[in-house]
Amino acid sequence: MGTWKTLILFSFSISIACSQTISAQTQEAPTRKLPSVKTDVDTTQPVVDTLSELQIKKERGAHYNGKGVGLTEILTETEFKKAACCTLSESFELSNTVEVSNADGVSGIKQVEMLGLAGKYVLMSRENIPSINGLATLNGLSNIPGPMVSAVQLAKGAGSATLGADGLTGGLNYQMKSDIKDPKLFFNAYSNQQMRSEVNVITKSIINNRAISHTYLHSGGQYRTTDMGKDGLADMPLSQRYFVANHTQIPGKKTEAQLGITAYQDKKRGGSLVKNSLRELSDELGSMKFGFNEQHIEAYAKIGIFLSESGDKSMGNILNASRHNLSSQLNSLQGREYRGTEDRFYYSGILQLPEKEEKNLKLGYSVLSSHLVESLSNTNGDTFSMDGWQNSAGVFGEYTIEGEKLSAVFGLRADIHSVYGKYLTPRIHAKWSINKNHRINIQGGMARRSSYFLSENLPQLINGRTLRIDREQLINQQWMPQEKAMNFGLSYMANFMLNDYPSTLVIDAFETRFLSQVLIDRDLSSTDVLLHSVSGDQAGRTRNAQLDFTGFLHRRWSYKLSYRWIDSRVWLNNQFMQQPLQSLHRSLIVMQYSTRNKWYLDAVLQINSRKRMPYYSTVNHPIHPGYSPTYAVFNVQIRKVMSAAFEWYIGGENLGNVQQHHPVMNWETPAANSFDAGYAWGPTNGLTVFAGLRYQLF
Amino acid sequence: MKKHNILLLAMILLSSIGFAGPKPVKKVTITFAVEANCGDCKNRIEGALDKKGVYKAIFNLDSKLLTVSYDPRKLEEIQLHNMVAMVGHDTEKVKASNVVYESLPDCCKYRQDDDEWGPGKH
Repeated sequence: MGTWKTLILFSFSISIACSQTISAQTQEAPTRKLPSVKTDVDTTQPVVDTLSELQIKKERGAHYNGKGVGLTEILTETEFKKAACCTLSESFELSNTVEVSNADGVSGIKQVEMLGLAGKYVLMSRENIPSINGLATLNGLSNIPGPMVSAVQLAKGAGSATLGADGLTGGLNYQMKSDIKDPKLFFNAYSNQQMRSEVNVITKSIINNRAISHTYLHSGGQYRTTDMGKDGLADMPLSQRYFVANHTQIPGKKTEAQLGITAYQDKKRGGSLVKNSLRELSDELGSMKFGFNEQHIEAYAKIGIFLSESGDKSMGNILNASRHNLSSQLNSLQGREYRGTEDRFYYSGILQLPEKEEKNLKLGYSVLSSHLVESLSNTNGDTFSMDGWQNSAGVFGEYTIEGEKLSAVFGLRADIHSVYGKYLTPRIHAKWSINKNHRINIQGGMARRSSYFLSENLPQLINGRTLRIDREQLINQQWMPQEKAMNFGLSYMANFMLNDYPSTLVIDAFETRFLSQVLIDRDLSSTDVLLHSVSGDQAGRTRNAQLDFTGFLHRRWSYKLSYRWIDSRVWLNNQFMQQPLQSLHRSLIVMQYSTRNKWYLDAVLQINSRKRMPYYSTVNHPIHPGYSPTYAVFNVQIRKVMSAAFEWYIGGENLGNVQQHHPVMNWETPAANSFDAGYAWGPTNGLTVFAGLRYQLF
Repeated sequence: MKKHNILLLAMILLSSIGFAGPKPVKKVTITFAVEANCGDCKNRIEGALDKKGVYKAIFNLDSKLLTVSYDPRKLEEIQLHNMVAMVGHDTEKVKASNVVYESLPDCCKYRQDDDEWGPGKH
């Protein structure tokens, strides 16, 4: 039960850039007691190089020009403050790169998409330590409190080979607030009128004038719900989440270490409400009950050892051990209940050997071991239970050549996996800087991931459909075939002056082509749901294009215009179909105006084109006409910075009061086979008014 | 008769101009040189001019020229120079005080005799 507890982790990883920053700083300010630790600048991933650029800018005031080889969108706290609510998964409202929507009409789980594909295809990491994976993938981003995150890098396309063979569509790396310059105490409270409330506290302490320690505490939940459609089902589940973490950095000349521990728990209860109540769930016979419980505990360490005086040759070690518990009552009327526990251990060592300033070689190896126990009970359709290990070991190399005009990163990794055998995953990124302000990126790569086919698809199992699992495809009666895909991307980035202010234009196009894919098929019939794997001619592909334009109308008036297009082909109902519940077109307009005395006005308009609904019946249905309407969501927030210590905000989400009254199909008959919560296309809870405050003590 | 009318018209027109006087100028754009090094300096200078009466202030790092459009009814030109000098940057007309200058970050120290961080030396 607790073997993982005793693990000590290591790690580190330091880019040439940041180690140079450190040495430069010590030369300039030798009297400084506490060398600043580059926690957030760790560049195991070539695409994240832009971050170290930012760091330098912040600390040294150097010029900034995007140097990273891949295409990475960086979201910072300034961005997160524009949309105050709540978790990391919801902080992407201002970005078209990641889309967030309700996974279904009951669970309140947020579904994240990148390049038109589910969040499970994104390699998630915290400060380049793989994180939020395996069983934790489904609801993981929603368990990270947004106000505790300082920055997120979204790397599009198959990323660096150093972090793993997965990451079919991209990488998401986030940093918790862990800077030495942070306030001693940070406090944030938030609530909306539907009693979704939370409290966040971060404290910083310096131990022995050397180590920097941050402690994070969060409590939040939904304490009352709504029933806009008057269908007797809670629009959002009642929930309670706790999050506790500590992150300690110990800087040094020869070695550097970061140690941390994270634990969270989330409980959600939804389904039928007691008549005329918005706080109590019905316990009566024949009422539909939903429950979702998660517990997660994780310890990690990064230890960096400098092998040369200048610090550019280095050895990094990353260790991570975690246990994740997930149990969910999906539909009480079908006896459908899921239980899963995963223990996970990860170790990676990276050797960084720069030849010259512009050439860098990284060599490393990693070991991943995972023990998964899961079971699904069900009175309507297949049941499932398993208890198995996945062990894999891999070696990788990454060679970076940086030139004035052309730069490239070549990555290759070879893995051996106890279930899936041996495989190679190559990655290539290239950048052509046409001149200082224009650049073109081209990239491609292969990626694979082990499918957690039940836990990832839980929101699609909240229904009365007969569940069928294609057991013939299972390896050892336990594992679905691995998902394999190729990803290619092309992007163009331009920086220019418009109206005397800097503007940026980014255009990109990506294609993800599956070789093997695990699918959940609800288009087959209205009373069945099939879990299976497709490959060869039946494997799908997704094309995605995006255009982002940012600029200023005035020194204190910024705007962003974004448009994205997705064309997906998924093998559903024995033919290629558009992915259900996904808009073909999506536009985003973001504006921020601030006054001289620090009032900030933020407005976001999202326009989503119609979404295809999963198949339900051959006859036309009055509530679900096959496609959702095109709809727009408009959010506004006013923020006032009173002083360096205190600020407050107040805002409204979904001001147009766009609502989907019945995200649940056949809500009148919860015991029927055709009952299905998976028809949620838009907001279920209408206009929301919220208010919050932030307090900092330096 | 016709001539008389035209004359009268001309007189009316002239007198109306005389009454209205010259229209007050609402917007003036001037350009002057400011000492600075980097993007941070640019931000600081433009930020210092983000005041009532200033429509727009853009500093060009390459030419070291600051272009300001402002409302002459509310501000005098020398006040613009003062605003810039107040945050530590010398202009054509006003020199920043040493105290403020010393508080600038290293990368923004533009005075030659100070250290190696003179203009063109970084």
